[in-house]
Amino acid sequence: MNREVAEVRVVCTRTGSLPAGGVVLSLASDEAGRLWAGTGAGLFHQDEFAWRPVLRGFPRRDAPVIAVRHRMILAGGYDAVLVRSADRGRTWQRCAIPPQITAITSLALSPSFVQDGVALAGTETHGILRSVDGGRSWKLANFGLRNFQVNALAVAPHWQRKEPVFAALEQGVYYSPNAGRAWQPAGLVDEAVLCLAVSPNYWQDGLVAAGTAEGSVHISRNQGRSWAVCKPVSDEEHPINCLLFLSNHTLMAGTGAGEIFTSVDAGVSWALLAVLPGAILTLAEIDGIILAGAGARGLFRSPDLGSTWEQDDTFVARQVHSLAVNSEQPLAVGGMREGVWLSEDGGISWQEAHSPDGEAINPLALSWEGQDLLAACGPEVIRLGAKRANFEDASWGGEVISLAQSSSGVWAGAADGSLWRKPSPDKAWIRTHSPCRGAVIAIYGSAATALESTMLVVSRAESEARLEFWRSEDLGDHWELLRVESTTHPAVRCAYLDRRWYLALGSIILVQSQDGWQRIRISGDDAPVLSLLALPGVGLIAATADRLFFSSDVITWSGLPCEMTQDGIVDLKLVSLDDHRAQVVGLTSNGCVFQLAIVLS
Amino acid sequence: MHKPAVITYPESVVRLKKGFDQLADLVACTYGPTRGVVLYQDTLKPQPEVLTDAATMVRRVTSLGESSMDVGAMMMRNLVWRVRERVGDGGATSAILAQAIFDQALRVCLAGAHAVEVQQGLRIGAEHALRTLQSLKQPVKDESDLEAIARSVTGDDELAFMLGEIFGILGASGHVLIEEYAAPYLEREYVDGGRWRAALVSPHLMNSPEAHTTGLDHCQVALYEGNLTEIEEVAPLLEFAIRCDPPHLLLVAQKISEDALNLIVTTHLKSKLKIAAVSLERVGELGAGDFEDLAALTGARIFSAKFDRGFRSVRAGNLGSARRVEADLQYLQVSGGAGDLIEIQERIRQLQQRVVSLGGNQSDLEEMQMRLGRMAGSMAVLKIGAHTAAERSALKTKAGQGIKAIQAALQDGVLAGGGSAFLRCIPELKKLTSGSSGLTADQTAGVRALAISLEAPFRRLLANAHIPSSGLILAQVQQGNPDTVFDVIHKKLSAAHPAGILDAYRVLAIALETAVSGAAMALGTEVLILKRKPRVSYEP
Repeated sequence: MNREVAEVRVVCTRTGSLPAGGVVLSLASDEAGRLWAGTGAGLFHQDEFAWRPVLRGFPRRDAPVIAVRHRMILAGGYDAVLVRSADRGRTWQRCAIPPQITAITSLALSPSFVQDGVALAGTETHGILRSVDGGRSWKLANFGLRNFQVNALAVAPHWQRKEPVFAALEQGVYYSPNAGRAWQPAGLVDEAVLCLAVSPNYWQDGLVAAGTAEGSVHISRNQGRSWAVCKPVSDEEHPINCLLFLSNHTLMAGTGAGEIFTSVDAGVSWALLAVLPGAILTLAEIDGIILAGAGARGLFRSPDLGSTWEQDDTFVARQVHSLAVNSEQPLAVGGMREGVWLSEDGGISWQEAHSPDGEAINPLALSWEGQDLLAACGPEVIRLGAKRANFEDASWGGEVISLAQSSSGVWAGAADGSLWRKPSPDKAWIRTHSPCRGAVIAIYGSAATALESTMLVVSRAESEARLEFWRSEDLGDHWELLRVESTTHPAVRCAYLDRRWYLALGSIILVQSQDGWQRIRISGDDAPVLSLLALPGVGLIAATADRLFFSSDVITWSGLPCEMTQDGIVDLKLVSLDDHRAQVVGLTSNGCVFQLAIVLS
Repeated sequence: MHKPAVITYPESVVRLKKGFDQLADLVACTYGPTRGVVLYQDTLKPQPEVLTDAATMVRRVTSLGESSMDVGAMMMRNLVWRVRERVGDGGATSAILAQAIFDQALRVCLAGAHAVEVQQGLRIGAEHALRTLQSLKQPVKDESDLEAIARSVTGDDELAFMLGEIFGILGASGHVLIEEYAAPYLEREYVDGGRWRAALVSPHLMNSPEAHTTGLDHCQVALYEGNLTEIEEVAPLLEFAIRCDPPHLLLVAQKISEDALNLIVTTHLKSKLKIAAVSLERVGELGAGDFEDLAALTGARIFSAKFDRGFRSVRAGNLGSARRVEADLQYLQVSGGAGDLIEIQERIRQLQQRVVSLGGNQSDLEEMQMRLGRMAGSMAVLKIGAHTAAERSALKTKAGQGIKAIQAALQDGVLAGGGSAFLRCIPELKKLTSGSSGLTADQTAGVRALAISLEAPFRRLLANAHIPSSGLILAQVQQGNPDTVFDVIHKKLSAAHPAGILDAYRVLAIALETAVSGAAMALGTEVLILKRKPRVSYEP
C-alpha cells in the first residue's frame, strides 16, 4: 500500500551530456532562417542557445530525411512513416502513404511548393512517392522506373513549363520532365548513384552532378541527357555520399572517408578542402555558412566556403535509450548506433567503451551484474569489467535483445523467444524454460524489491502484431500469461509497484484491478510513455516525450516541473529512496543526463 | 408522282461547284495558326457554339438551302470528315486543296479538255507529289516536334505541350485515354503497366478502404475465363497460393459469386493469404483479348470454364506473377508482369501489324492502340478540365485530333509545315509537264492544275493572316532550303524545326490523296438528279 503523499516537489539538475555528435543525414532552414537537422535520433531544430529535439506531437523516433520550405516541414525515415508540419514544427500530422512502403530515403519539394503542393519521396524498395496536396497523401509514381531503390532526389531550382526532377537510383539516374509524374532513364545505368546536385543556374548551364558508390562524380552539361565522368575526385575510391552546388556555383563533394572536395570548374578539376572525422553524410549551404554532417561526430560548420571547419559543440543528437545505474559503479548509457558511454563523475564527463576487439559497442540493452556492465548487442553479449571487456560465452539461439537483473541473477531474452539466466558472475548462462513464441523484447525483474521473486517478460510476434506479457512468481520456473495486446506500438514500458504490474503501451497505462484491466491515459495529447519508474511505497513516475508525471494511485496523474523535458526524457532509474526523498537519474533523447530529486511530504 | 429534277453538264458541275466552294470557303477560314472562329447557333440551344476545326464545322452543315448546291456541299463535307477520321487533322488542308484542284481542273475541262484525261493527270500528279513528300519527310526529333504538331492541330498551347510531353515519354506505341476532369485545367497521369476495366468483387478485399482500393506487391496471378461460383473451383487455387511467398494473389475472372466469393473473402480476412479478386468488365471478343493480354504480361495460363471447371488442376507454372497490382471498383492495374519478354515483344509486333492492316476502322484501331499501349506498358490518362462544359467538350475533341496527328507523326515522320511541303512538290510536277513525260495534253493539263493548286494552302495561310504579296513570299520559300517555312505569326521566314512549324507526313499525304480523289469525282459529274419533296396538302 502506498503511503500518503501530500506534496511532491522536484528539483531537476542537469549534470552533463554526452560529447557533441550524432548522425546528421539532412539539413535545411525554414522561412525564419531557423535550422533543421534530420538525424538518426529524431528531428532537431536550433533555437537561440542550442539544438533541441522536436518532441511535442512528433510521432517518430528517427527522422533522417527532411525537407523544409517556408513553414512546411516534411520528415521521413526508416520506419515507413512520413510526417508533416504546416506550422514550423508546432503540430504534426502523419501522412497517408501506401501500406507496403518500408523506408523513406529522400525527400524533395517543388520549387513552387506553396502554390502547387507537389512533393516527392524516394523509398528504399518501392520507387518514388508523389504528393500533390502538400504532403497529406502520397501515391506511388513509378512510371518508367526500372529500378526501385531510390537513394536521392533533386529538383531544378525553379520550374518553368517543364518541371525537371532527377532521381538517383541503385542503377542509374532517372529524369522526370513533369514533376515526377513519369520517369525516363537518364544514364549511368551501371552505377549505384548515391547523390545528385542540380546547378542553381540549371536553366542556363544545364549542369547536373551525380556521385556514385564507386567514388566517381559524373557531370551532365545538357540537363541530364548525357554524362561525362569527371577526373577522379580522390585516389581512393571512397563513395561520394553528397554533392552540393554552392551559391557561387562551386561544386562540393563529400566522401565516405570524411573528405570534402571542391571544384570551381564543374568537375574538371578537384581540390581537397578538408578531412572531417566521419563520413560526410550531408552538405548544405545556409546563409553563406557551409554545414556538414560527419558520421556520428555530428555537425561541422565552415564560415569561409570550406577552408576551415569547426564542430558545433551544441549539437548533441545521440540516439541513446538505455541508462544503467549501480550505486557503486559509473553511470552507463547506450544506444543502438551510439555506443556505450561511461561516466565516473556522475555524468559530467564521458568516455566511450569498446568491445574486446576494439570496436564500438552498440547495445540494444544494458544491465549491471555486480561490478560488470553487460551490453546486449544482438549476436553478442559483451561484459565490460573494470579492466577489460569480454564476449560472453553462450550459444545464444538468436539475437539477444533484452537484459535485466533480478534477485535470481541476470536474465537475457533473445529474438527467437528463448530466455537465458546467469545466476552469478562466476556461473555460465543457462537456457531456461521460456513461454514466449515471439522475440523477448523486454524483461523486468524484481531487483528493486529483492525480497520478491516476481518477473515479467514481454514478447512480440512481429507477424501477428501482438504483444504477450508473461508473469512468473517463482523466478522463472512457471509462467502465467498476464495479458495479450494487439498493437504495433514500439514503446512498451512496465513497472512493478505494490505487488502489481503496470504496463505502459503508447499513451495508455494498463492497470490490473479486481474488475479486470483498466486503461488509464495519463495526458490528453496521446504522447507515448517513454519511461515508467516505480517508487516503491510511493507511486509511479511516467515520462512522455516532453512531460513528466507523478501518481500515487495510478489513477490521477499530475505534471512535474522539469526543464529536461524539452530534450525528451527516454529513461529514468531510481538511485535511492527514503521516507522523504527519492533520488532519480534520467537520460534525455539527445544524450543529456540529469538528477531528479523528488522531495516527498 | 413528283418528277426529280435532272441537271446536265455543264450546268451540273457549275452548280455542284457552288456548294463545293461555299463549304470550302467556310472551312478555309479555320486554316493556320491565325485561324478565325465560326459561331454556330443551334435553335435549340441558348448560346452559340464556337467552332474552330473544319471537321466539326462541316458536320454542323446539313444543307445550304438549295438542293443543287447541297450535292457539292455534301461531297466537301464527306471529304473533310473522312480526312479527320483517318488522321485527326488535315480537314481544312484537304478542303482548300480540293477546292483549288476542282477549280483549276474545271477551268481546263470547260475549255474543252476531256474530264477523264484531266482526272488521270490529277492522279498521276498526286502520285508524284506524294513521292516527293515521302522523300522530304524526317523522323520526329524530340518532344518539341510533337508539341509543334499538336499545336498546329489544336491551336492550344497548353494542350499541345501536354500531348508533346506524353508522347515524348510514351513513344509511338503509347495509348492515351481522355477523361473529363473536375478541375478547370489539364492534368495527365501515367499508368505504370497495363490497365483493364475491372471491379473488385467485394469491398472486404480492399486494403485501403478509405480510398476504395486494394494493392498487393509481388503477387501470383490466376486467370479464369468464366464464372466462378463453387468452393471446389477456387479452393485448390487458394491452397496453392497460401504457400507462396509472399502469399499474395490476384484472381481475375469474368464473374465471381456465391460460395466461391464467400470462400475468397473469408480466406482473405482470416488467413495470411491476401487476395485481390476482380471481375473483368468486358465480355465476348474484347474480354478474350483482355485475358490474352493479361496472360502474356504476367505469364499466367488462362483457365476456362470450358476445359478446366475452375482451378481444380492448378499447379506450379500455371500462375503468373506481377510486381504490383492495384484494383478498385473501376480498374485493375498490373505493373511489372513476369511474362516472357520475347513473347510480349512478339505480341506487340502482331498488334502493330493489325493496327496497320486495320486502316480506317476507327473503333478497332483504338482498341488495338489501347492493347498495344498496355502491352508496351506505355499508357497515359489525359484529364481534360475547363471552366465550362462546352469548353471541356471542345478541348476533348481537339485532344483526340492532336493524339491522332502525333501518332501519325511518330509512325511516318514530319514535314515542314505551313503549306511549304506542298510547294516543294511543284517543281516535280512541272518536270512532268515538260513534254518528255509521255502524257497526253489533257493529262498534262491535269498535272498542271494540280501543280497550281498545291500553292493554295500556302496562299490561304497568308490570306488568313492578312499578309499581302503572297507571291513574293511564296517565291522566297520555294527558293529556300527544304526546311524553310514562313512563320505567319512573326511574319518572317524560318527553319521549320526551330520554329515548331511542322506537319505530320501522313496528315498531308492523306489530305492530298483525299482532295485529289474528291475533286476528280466532282469533276467527272455529268448529271445531277435531285429528288424533290412531295408537296404536302392540308386540304381534306
